[in-house]
Amino acid sequence: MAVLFIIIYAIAFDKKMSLLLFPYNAMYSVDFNHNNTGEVYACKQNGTIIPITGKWYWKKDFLETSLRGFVHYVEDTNRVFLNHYILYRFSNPIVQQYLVDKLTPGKIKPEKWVTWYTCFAGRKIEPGDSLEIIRYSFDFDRNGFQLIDSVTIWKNFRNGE
Amino acid sequence: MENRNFHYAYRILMGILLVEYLIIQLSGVGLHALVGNPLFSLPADPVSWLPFLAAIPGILLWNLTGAWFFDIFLLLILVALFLNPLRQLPGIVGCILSFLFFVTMMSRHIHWNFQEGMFIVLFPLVFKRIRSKLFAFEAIRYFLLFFYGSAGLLKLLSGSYLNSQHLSHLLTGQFGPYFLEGNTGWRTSVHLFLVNHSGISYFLFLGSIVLELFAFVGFFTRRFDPFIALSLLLFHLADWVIMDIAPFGQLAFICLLFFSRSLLRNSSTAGDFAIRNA
Repeated sequence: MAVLFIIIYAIAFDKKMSLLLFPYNAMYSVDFNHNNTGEVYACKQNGTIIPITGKWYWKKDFLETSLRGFVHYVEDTNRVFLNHYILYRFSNPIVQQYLVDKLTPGKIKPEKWVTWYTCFAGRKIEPGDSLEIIRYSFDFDRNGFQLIDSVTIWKNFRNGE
Repeated sequence: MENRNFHYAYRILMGILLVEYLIIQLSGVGLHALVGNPLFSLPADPVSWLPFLAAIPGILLWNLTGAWFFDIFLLLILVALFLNPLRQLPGIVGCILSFLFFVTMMSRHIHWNFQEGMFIVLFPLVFKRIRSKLFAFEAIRYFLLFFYGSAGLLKLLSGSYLNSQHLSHLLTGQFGPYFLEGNTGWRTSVHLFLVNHSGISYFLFLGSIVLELFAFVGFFTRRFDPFIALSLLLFHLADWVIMDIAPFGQLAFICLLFFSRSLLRNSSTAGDFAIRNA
């Protein structure tokens, strides 16, 4: 059993299969940063950051990670990872279209997602509230956390109306 | 005897899984919390595509009542499996629902977390005969060993073990939201210390590789399984404190190693089962 397992997974490993049922676990094996700078995203309601770090682990992780995913989606002109992967992996246009329809979200309204996010973070949205998604760049040095830049990714004043 | 041992082991594992599921739900994350979220992303894994090809996640998140029903039904199934882990029907239903729960959650999370143990640990309960359950138990044990062993191996193959700055660089992004919100304390102080003292963080990184690689010992003997489980739990505890990555959802899966010696002691390998039952 052990030998069979090792052979099968060695093949999967060789093919770099990062699959749910092929436990190729490359987490944190590559340093993509190469320095002590980083980026963090935040959602602001009426100019104030919606806090997430006081939440229990899963919720805090969900709020942090899904926001990053949303920004990548917006910046990639409404595409997710599979939009690229399907085109690369399947050559038949009919199969491509079928899989894109079934496995990707298509074009969604950012307002809808940000509204969900704000409510998920435990906030109520009143008519006229402003919502923004900001990317902050920062650096760690001997003095600690230093913000060096911020960019507004998305903004809407009319949400909740 | 095998039945009794299996019942005892899985009652404990189901108890742990039940607590983990409650922690996830009580944190405010469950299918009920994802209703209204239209954005999802899947990995390059056809297994995770299957529910989406059948449009199941869309149905589960169609309305709030249905999503709540799913969350509560899965909770009841886990309670039923805690009370009697040997019953096949709750085992099948629990395994499928846990899989759907994990896939639907991760698709909305947009990053595929490692806690897939929350449904894999249920796989042996799908089978009726105790021999089949034990065979499946041994299979997921190997899966677990490879899951962690490969993490250590890839850190070697990628050469990251040669980079003394590796963990310091990785850490920079982990506590960004805490600093941004001004929610600082002893953990962010530890974080800052490790970012600025790459020698110490490098030592910790090498330690994590050793803990992960220790899982490969399990391919050759079950004698050290409890120690492998302890090393993996230690790895996750450190991961939680230092990297802010909690293992809830994966703990029951790891803890199966505490029972593998007693459950599988009547056979030297799973292959023996197959030969005896052929």
